[in-house]
Amino acid sequence: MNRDPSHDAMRAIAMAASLWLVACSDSVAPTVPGPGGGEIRCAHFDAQRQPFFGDLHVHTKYSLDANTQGTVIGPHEAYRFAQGERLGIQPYDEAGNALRSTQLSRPLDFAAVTDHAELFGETEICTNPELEGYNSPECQFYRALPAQSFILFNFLGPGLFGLPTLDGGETIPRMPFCGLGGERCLEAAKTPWRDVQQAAAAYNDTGSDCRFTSFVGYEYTAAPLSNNLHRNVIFSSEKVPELPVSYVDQPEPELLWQALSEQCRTDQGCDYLTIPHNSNLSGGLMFQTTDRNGADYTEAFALARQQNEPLAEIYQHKGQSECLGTTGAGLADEQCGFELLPYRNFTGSQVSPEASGAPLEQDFLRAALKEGLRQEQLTGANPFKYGFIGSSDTHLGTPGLTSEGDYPGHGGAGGSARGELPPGLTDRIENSPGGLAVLWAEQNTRGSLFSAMRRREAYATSGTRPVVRFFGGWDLPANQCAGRFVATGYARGVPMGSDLPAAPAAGARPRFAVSALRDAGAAGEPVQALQRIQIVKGWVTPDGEKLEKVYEVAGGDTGASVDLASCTTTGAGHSSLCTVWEDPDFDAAQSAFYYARVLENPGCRWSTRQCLAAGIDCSNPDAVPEDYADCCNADYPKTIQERAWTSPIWYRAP
Amino acid sequence: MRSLLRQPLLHFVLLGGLLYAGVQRWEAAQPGRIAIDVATVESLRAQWRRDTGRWPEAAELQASLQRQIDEELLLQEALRLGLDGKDAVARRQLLANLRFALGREEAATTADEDAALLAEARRLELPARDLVVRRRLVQLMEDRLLAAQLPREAELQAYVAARPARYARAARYRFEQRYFSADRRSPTALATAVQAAQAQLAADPAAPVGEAFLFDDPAGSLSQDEIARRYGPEMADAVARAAPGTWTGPVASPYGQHLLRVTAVEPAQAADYAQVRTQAAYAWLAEHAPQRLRAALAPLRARYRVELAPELLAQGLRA
Repeated sequence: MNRDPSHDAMRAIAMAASLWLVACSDSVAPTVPGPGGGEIRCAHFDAQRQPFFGDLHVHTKYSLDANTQGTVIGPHEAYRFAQGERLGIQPYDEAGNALRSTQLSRPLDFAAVTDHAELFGETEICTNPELEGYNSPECQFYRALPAQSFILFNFLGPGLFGLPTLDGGETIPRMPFCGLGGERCLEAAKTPWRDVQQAAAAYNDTGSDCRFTSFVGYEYTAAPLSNNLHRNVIFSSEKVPELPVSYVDQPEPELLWQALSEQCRTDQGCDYLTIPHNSNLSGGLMFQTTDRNGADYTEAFALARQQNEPLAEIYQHKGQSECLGTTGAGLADEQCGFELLPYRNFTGSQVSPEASGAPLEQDFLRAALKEGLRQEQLTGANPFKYGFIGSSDTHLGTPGLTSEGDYPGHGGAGGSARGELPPGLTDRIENSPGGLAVLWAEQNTRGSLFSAMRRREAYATSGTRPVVRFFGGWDLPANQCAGRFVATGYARGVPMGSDLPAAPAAGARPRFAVSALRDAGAAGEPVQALQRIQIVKGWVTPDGEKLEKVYEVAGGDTGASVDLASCTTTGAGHSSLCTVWEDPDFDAAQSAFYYARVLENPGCRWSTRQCLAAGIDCSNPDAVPEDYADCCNADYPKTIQERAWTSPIWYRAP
Repeated sequence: MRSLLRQPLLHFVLLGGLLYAGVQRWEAAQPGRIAIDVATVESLRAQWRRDTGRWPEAAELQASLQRQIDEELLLQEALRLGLDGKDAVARRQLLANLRFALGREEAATTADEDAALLAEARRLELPARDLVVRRRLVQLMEDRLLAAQLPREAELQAYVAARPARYARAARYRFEQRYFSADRRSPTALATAVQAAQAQLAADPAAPVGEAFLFDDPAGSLSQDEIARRYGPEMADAVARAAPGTWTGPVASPYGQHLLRVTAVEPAQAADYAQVRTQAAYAWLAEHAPQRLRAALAPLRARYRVELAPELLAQGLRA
């Protein structure tokens, strides 16, 4: 049958408008013929891949904890902001005019709005007077005391462990106003979910310029007893489940994966991955080695986990999850002190650090990667095979706003800015503007970027934009940096996120080639030159001992310094660094992983810039206003050394 | 022709058509009634205050009253079309309510009993009272009206044409570059190296001068924005100004100095409508949904009689 494609497309949009945009069965957007799974070939296509910078963790008004803080920016505005438009942000005056505005100094290449699925319904119900529940005590409490209700919702909603039910399944009680079984909230959740999808469809550039890619996504907000098991769910296309699978429906990550695999089937054009974040706040739970029934991991379970989550957020607004710098192995690595939160779960920020307890080494990715090697020894498969990305976790609907300069706060899990701009620092002293996700992809389209996520050809930055390539192999040439670095890397090795092939001969040692360019910068955004490249190795001995070591491979102390009285920097740095490094301690009997960490010269931290602008003088404590007391808090650094973490390359002992 | 006129099927269709027209007329002559009392407006005022912390201005109150009337109208239309029994979600919710109220097990009801329960739900005005069902029905009606309100092709083309920053194709450049690092040299040494390379390129445009660079020659053609983000704004300007085919420079970047040769230029072009049509339609929908809905509601309004309590009319409120 010969049909007019434009008629089909219009009909599809009509269906989207009249039914739900969603549905795995309906084709909504027609695909444009071209290479690579029906996608267009972009003008900038590069078979050897290029770096795309994005943010895969963005909250808008549909997240209750954003809404309580006066965020009224929705997904449409968030995507326009990501593409460089100026955006008015909270607080708002009585006439609804934004009192602040902000803009990216350079647009992002991609983004995903990831609102909390669990609270879609609750937020909508409380703010929409048409909904039953609007006048419930919970909602009245929420509207009267929005800041406190964050705790209430989190402790009564996603904060509870699943209560066993008679049939052996588990359910999480929703807020009472959701009605019996929570149907009321499920229904209300439909509207935000539809808006999220429509915004993603409206701003995903399908032209050959391929300026911007959006992904449909949401956050699965599991936080039993305030221990963070959050994951962002990212879909590869516009084909997504009718409703986001939430913690309330599926109270264990493995149940989430199971439900997603049933409701998002690849044979129907739906594909997804889940990206855990803030393992640093998981209270020992994120990288447990037992399943929900307390049984040890099996090979099948490990493979399922690996398949479902190839990436983890190593850094964002609420601290790094790379390594713990206060106890254990991380003590030997001074860079583990970077943006380290001093508590182990949300109780630390919502109640007090003492009530939470100190962070746990097992909650950090380096420890998890080592445990993954150990699990591989035990079961035959590695459950913790994570590549790295960063993201912002903004609760202002401002993707990519990760510069230390002019930081308006992300308003996440805390500071409210409703009605008036609160005095003092714009965020808790321990928080930060967060990071970015970088994907090495042929072109800036959903298909190409999603494939990069799947194969972990990704790296994280702490918010700046250094460019880093990392290859591993058995016969990478020692002079690779002087030639066609990338072509050689692909031809004779494997890129970040991959497995080394088997050793070609006894006695062979793997080589790792790493090349970095400094952030090219942009007007009005403070960026520094490169300082050094390190390679972090973790490995496990045949008898199960877990070890790690940091190697200095390029650059070094540049002598650059920061004048804290003005935040100006002096001294040299590197505009690029490149080296080929061979592991001198390689033992073919020990499984290992290697990742590169690229450090920039230090610059002023966001808080230091704000304290300086406010004229705070810590030598005269009596004159320091209470709202600025943390300017003089010696527990937190005045400078920040921005950085990039590449996804690891793994070696598996035979 | 004659035989065609004798076809029973045609008679059937004609009769059906006449009946349909009659019903339409009869329906139009039987407008629904929407009564707005003082209590309704008071609750609108209270909601406004809860949401904004202040009482509404007259115009704001009128606007929220209008929304309330529209919603009522959409609800009545949905009920007229029987959507409360047809839509699976509304139906499930209503049945669950009644089964719960009557203490019945789900398995205990048959199709006939379900129909009776739904009739009972209507008698109790549950579709309007249960706010989940109410909202669902209102949304379904809105969706139906919006489906008939999609942009015309010409309208969407104009929308795309009016937004070149979002949809048009930027000018694009293919170029080669030769790189000279500033890291490991004095400015004088750097200038000397660049000059020597320029001389070599003048003699042989393919001369292998310069140093390895991670972003050597881009494989694709890049826009000025893309060049600026990768090499800095000076390179973006220089590429756009360069005469194609010859080596120019040096141009400074955050990495050092570059000589460059543009090999192809694709001028900026209007949007490829076919490529961006779907994307633009979604953006158009998001922008126009409220206004389109109002337009679609207008003929419906004419079929309903809206009655405001006299006190409200005295306050200056209008239907």
